[in-house]
Amino acid sequence: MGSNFTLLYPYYLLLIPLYYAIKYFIKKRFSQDIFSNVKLLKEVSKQSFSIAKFLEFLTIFFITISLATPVKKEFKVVTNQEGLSIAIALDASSSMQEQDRFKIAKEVIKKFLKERKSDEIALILFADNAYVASPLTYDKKSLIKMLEYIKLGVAGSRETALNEALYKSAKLFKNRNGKKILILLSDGIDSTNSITKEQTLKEVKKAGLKIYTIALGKKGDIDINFLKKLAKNSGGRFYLTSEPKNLKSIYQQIDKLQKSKIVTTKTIQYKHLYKFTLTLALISLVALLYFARLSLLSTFITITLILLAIFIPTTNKNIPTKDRANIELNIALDLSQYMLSDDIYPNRLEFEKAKILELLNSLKGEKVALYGFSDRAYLISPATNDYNRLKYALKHINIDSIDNKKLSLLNLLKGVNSTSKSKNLIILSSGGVSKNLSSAIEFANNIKIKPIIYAIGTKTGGAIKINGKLLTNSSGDIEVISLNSALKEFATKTGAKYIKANSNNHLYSYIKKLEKSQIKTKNSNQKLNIYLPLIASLAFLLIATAKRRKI
Amino acid sequence: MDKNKLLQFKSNKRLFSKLQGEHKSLFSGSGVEFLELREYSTSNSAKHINWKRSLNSNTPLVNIYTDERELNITLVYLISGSLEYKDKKELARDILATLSYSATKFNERLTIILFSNKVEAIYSSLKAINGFEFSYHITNNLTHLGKSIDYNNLSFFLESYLKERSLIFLIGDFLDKNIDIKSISLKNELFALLVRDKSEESINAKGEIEAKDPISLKIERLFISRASAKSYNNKFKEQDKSLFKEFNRYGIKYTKFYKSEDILEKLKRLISG
Repeated sequence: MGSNFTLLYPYYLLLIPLYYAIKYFIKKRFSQDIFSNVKLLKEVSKQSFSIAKFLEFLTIFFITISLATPVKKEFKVVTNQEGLSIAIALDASSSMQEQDRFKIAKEVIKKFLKERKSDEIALILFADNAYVASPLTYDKKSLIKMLEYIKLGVAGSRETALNEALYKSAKLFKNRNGKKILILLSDGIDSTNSITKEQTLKEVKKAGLKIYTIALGKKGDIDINFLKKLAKNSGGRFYLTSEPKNLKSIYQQIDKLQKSKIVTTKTIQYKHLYKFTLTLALISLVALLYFARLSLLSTFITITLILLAIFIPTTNKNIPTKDRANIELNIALDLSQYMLSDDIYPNRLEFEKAKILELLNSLKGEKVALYGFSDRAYLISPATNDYNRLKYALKHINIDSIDNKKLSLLNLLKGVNSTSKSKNLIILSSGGVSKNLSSAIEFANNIKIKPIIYAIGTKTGGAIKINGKLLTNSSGDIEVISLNSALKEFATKTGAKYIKANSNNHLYSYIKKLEKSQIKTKNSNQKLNIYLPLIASLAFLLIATAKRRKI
Repeated sequence: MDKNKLLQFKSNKRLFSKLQGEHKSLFSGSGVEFLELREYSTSNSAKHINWKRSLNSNTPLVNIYTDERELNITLVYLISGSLEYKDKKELARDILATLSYSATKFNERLTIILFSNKVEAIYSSLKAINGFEFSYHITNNLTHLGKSIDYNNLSFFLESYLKERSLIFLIGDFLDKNIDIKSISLKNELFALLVRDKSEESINAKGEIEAKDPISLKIERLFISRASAKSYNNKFKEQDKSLFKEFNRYGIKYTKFYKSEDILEKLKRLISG
């Protein structure tokens, strides 16, 4: 961030010499008044005549400076690292237990994750079958946390679903435009045969992946040829090591090979200063009026015009996309299990996703960050205006993503606050079941965030179906989850906007209002309407000062 | 023309009648009042021989009378650029016209002098003319701008020019400092007629002004604050005060004339004292 002052239209400063030229000719045309006793007049007027002249100059100067549109340039350097999409496929079969392979691999991957700051990374574990531990995400913290929790045997232990892992990884990258990389670590041969080698190769090729394969263990245990072929075909590399300790250097090598491209874009924001300079012009004009006895009517008109220029609203009917990109919207999706309640068709989660999709289709360049939250918040996608990417991320949120029963608004607010500077938060939630949201209210008031709350759910509520079974409470009755009324209380106490979900209200209409207020305060690149009144004010000032005063 | 007619009507009354007795000529002339008997010389007219007395003394004697009781009236129009301010020039001209009309109508001996820092014109022994029209005529195309009055030169000139005691009327605005005309007043009856405008005697705060000096013709850029306006007014008053003190000291009669005042009435009052 750097800033300096500049004039957008410095040519307006030419009005100063023009002003004086016109004044000179006006004065020349009218002969000056004769006064009979100028001698005595000269004697008494010891006071410097230049005060009035100076004040007049100041007034003209500040008006023309305002016309030249002084701005404080604020450079926002945005380092847009053109991130890569990396999928890390990790063998979680029981054989990984040997030599502490799994533990060491986890540590090495953790370190690798920390290095890849601008990439989105997915984690795939495979043993009996392959499963996506995390879809592509920028939220490294949650990935690392996840890695810590993963233990051997989460995906079974006997088999090695290598091909399936490859296949699923390839699917993950669908709709991704950037470079796609897969790092596969395995110590065995595909033993499930759920997908054939040929099918895998074909799918991988179709996805356009660059694959680094790491074979850990002895030659005989591993299908080296297949792994080599994978790497070679895709332009990646094949590594073979029997020592888990070498993994570190291998991942470091890959890290070096796959440097992400860093693109820095400088965006310039203008903070208009014309109100300040016009106020100075007004002050000097009033002082001039005191000293110089100007023509009252013309001076009054001049003052009115300057005031008009100060208070005239700026027009920003058509906010160009460029400007909208300055607006960052944080959208938080409730991913607690209450979202599976079927009181809204087909269920709350699908409704929520549909609403966000509808919003994404209406946006015009605003950056959107997508958060998921249950008892903790995690970043699904950092702020971007690549809506296709967001849509993709949204599409891949499914019931599997829902892992936790509890819901914490407080943790959401904390999470959003720590990752984003933007105060534009749109929360789509059912509100969980907790009736006490005081800590969240307090936190929201502290960080001065006024979210838009889109309450999803009905008063009557619905049942929750997980894995085909209806959720029951401790006494065995079917639990009926209704919309949490505490959510409305949260909204009223934080000054948030509370909107009850229904299929007809469009989220974008609320966001438009939000944007309007922000564009006004941001003061950036709006169309100013000060030019006409200011030029007119200069003309009237000319009349006011050039008019002959009889003595 | 209406204004002129009105002026003429008003000046039908004899302005200088009251002054007549005071101005007996010491020279002999064709007057009525007897002065003395003198021996006849060839230069004397035979008409004036006093036969009775001549017979008694056996020498031809002639009656000598005082000169005719005519007044020498000198009107001095002081041409200065400052008369160009507002209607002062017209006012000065009207005063000149009124005086000269009155003088010529009753056959006084009138001399009109136009004076700036030097003599611009002299019109002497004016009789049997319309003084009013004549005044208008001579002041009509007179250039005022750039001219100022040299009072020393004026005194010197009048002293040498006027052989006889005169009634001298100085018509001007008397804005200069330290005007010294006492030497003129010693031998003549002197009247100062001050042509003034109220707005030059007292001003208000003007702020920034550009004023043209009618004498130097320079455009002065001045700043007149409330304080400087007050100072101007005070100084102006003081200047007039000291001027009038001088006038009083040397028996110079004076009065101020403003626009749209009855010039004749004012003159009458001034002359009759």
